[in-house]
Amino acid sequence: MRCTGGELKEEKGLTLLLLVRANGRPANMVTYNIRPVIGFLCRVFSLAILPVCLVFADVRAIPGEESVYYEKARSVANELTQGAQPYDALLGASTLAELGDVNAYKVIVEYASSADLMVQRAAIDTLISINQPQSLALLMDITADDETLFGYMIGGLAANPREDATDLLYAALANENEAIRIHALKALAEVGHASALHPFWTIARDKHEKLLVRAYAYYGIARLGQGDTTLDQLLEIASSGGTKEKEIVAVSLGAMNTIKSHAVLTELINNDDVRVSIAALVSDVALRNPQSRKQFVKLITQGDPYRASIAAAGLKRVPPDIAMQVTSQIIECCDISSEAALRLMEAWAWIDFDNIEPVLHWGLKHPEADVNLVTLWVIGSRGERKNRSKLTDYLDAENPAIRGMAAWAVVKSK
Amino acid sequence: MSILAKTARVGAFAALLGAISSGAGAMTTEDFLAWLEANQKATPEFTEGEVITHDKSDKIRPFVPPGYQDEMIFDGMEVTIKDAGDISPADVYKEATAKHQGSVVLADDGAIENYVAGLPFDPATLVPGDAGSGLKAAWNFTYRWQHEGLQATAHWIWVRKGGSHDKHEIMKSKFADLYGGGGKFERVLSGPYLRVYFNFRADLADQGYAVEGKWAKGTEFRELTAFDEPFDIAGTAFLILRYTNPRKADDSWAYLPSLRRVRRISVEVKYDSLLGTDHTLEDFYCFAGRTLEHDWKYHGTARILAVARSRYRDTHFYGPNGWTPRDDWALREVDVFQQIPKSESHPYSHKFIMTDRQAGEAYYCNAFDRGGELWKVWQLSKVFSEDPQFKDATYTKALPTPVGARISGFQSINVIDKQNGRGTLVPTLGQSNPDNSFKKVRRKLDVNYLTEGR
Repeated sequence: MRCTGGELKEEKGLTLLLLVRANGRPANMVTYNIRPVIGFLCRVFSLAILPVCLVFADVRAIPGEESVYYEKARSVANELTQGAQPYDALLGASTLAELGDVNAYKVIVEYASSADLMVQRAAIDTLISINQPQSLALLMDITADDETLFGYMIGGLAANPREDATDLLYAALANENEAIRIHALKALAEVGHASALHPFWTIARDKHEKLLVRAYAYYGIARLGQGDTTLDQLLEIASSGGTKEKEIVAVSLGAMNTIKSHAVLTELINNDDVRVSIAALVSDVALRNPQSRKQFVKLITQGDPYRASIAAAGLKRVPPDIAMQVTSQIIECCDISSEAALRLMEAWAWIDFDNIEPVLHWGLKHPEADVNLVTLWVIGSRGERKNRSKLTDYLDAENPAIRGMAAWAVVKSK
Repeated sequence: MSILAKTARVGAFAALLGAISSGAGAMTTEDFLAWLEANQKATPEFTEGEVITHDKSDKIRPFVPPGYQDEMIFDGMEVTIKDAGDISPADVYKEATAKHQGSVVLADDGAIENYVAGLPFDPATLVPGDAGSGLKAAWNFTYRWQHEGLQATAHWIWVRKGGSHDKHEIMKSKFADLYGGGGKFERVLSGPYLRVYFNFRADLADQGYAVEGKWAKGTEFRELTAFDEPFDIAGTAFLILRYTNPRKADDSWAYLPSLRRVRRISVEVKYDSLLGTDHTLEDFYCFAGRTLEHDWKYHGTARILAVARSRYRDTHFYGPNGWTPRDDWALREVDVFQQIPKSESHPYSHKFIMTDRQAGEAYYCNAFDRGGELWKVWQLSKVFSEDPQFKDATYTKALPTPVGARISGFQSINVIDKQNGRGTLVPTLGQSNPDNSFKKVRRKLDVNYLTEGR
């Protein structure tokens, strides 16, 4: 346990079974918490020592009664990794990398050099998703001299932040590219380390900094629980800034339950711009306004697919109990657009609610394959062992993406 | 010698064309065709270097497509006439044309066959009314010279007719100089755009006119439109994959960062409004759809005033609604052809497209609704890659376009919804048609060392 900015977080230690090799063969099995060691070495020496790290640190699945799941998952991942479809291959490779397969990294890095920008980006996001220190070292190395890939990495971390990337994100705060600074601020805000408060305040108070960047800094401060001290500054940004700034203010106000913030949100809900309006609406739902909640459900169920999907994606900013009530209501009442369904399901990866069985059931039975896929991703992302039994049937699915995501989720649900 | 050096009387044509433009009621196909016929008979009265103001606007009416005349001609207008000169494509494209054009044929279903690279059909052989000429014009536009493809950061600006955008946030930014005039800016988005061609590449004659590697196989191009906003779905991107097989439908995808993959989206999305704009994905470049999904009719050539060789790196807007370029306007010979969607669910009954005979790029298109009334008018501005103003990106960093690429650079595409009094401006900022240097990327990412010592 360690203290992070006034709240206690349990840090998952990366306890790995290591095969310590002697004369080319496994000699001893020992248990170490190697995350800090490898993380430190790989950050300091980057790829120069990576082969050494990988040779001596081969992660194995924990054997036992569920080893059959792992073997099946490994088999599926192997099959996909060798296939021609890049996204399936990346998915398979990420599963194998989670299991410590060195060649899997090789596949991912090859795809990072694809002529296809989307595949490049998927490769970067895949490396971000692999919860191993060497994946971060690889990321740093392959993006070091490529501004585009570096942008993808920081943007990817904003969507899927990882704690061990904080040094990298701090450095990115000084990047000359405004978008990269914003992504770094967003990522640091999601990571939630109290150590980010100092740079957040520094940027927020910097009058020479772009107003939008400062708005994101205030957002970070609000996310770290000090929003009440920034309310006036946020309101000033909302009044002097444009659409983008107003949107971030609207998002930030969702973490400040005061009379004043409610009043401002009511005003922003009526803003002409759809981004501002929806962001404010979701924040007002987060502050438990029942009227906004009705409007929120209506937007997801009856709005055009674009607005409905933005609103549904905002579910992750809503308190868990309300998120469950809203989702249950939607599941029971309506057939929503596939795009909104996908976003609604996706949001559950981040919502801290203990029993989401009905939501997962709905997602897995949904007629749209991509909603099934994102449901499997949610199961894996949440890493809940109790839901692993739901995955077994999908390991034999005809759709390779479904098979691959089920395999990934098995490995992630340790 | 510039055709603008010659002067003559426009005479009664200006009056006729003015009546077509500003006449009461909605504009119809017949109005457009009447304008075209008049245009083909008209002789330009303006001269090189002349600045056309409102009192002299009758001089230019015959050479501005109907539907756009009202946007280009207004009190306070300044249209500088300047010849664009030679904006023909790069030598590699001309060489590929000379080498392969003779082999290209049309199949019975309209598909192009034996196409390798370069311009597929000789424009001189296009005949109005001829059954195959419409298709040939469409294929010529499809395979115009674009080097490796366009890369840009684009603004997407929703404009409401009338009002002002002086207090909009963008007017406090470094981009303020670009957005003069009136019009209320309702929303501004920004995001990267990328199209990369993999096959039919005239610049790759030594490797079979195609990019090497498994990603290139069977793929004409991949097109990416990405957005950093809104907050809750940041990172979503749209991807279109066009196959080399003209009979194979496009694949359309949206990239989802959390899933680390793209998801297939309905091909119908191409016809839908793109994120609430007045454009559809199919409207990029005037037409970016699949040729075989439409019937085509060729109507002959016209001479129109177009921003074919902008004096600026980026489009500068002005006018009562802030959606007209303030720039040099060149008289260009264009092919006029008609896109008629085969699908009944398509929102347009038809669209007229006007493409430069020499450079191949489109400058205008007029789309009509299912009731046959003019709905949308697009105007596209081009900047020539060999000009000094193209060398340095003014607002957004761009990869360099190689010297000699001779690209009519995609500066902006601006659509006006004539029925609803609104428009969407899509100026690119720091656009380029760069060398993508796939091999260089691969060298840098040599992964063999990962398994060293094993």
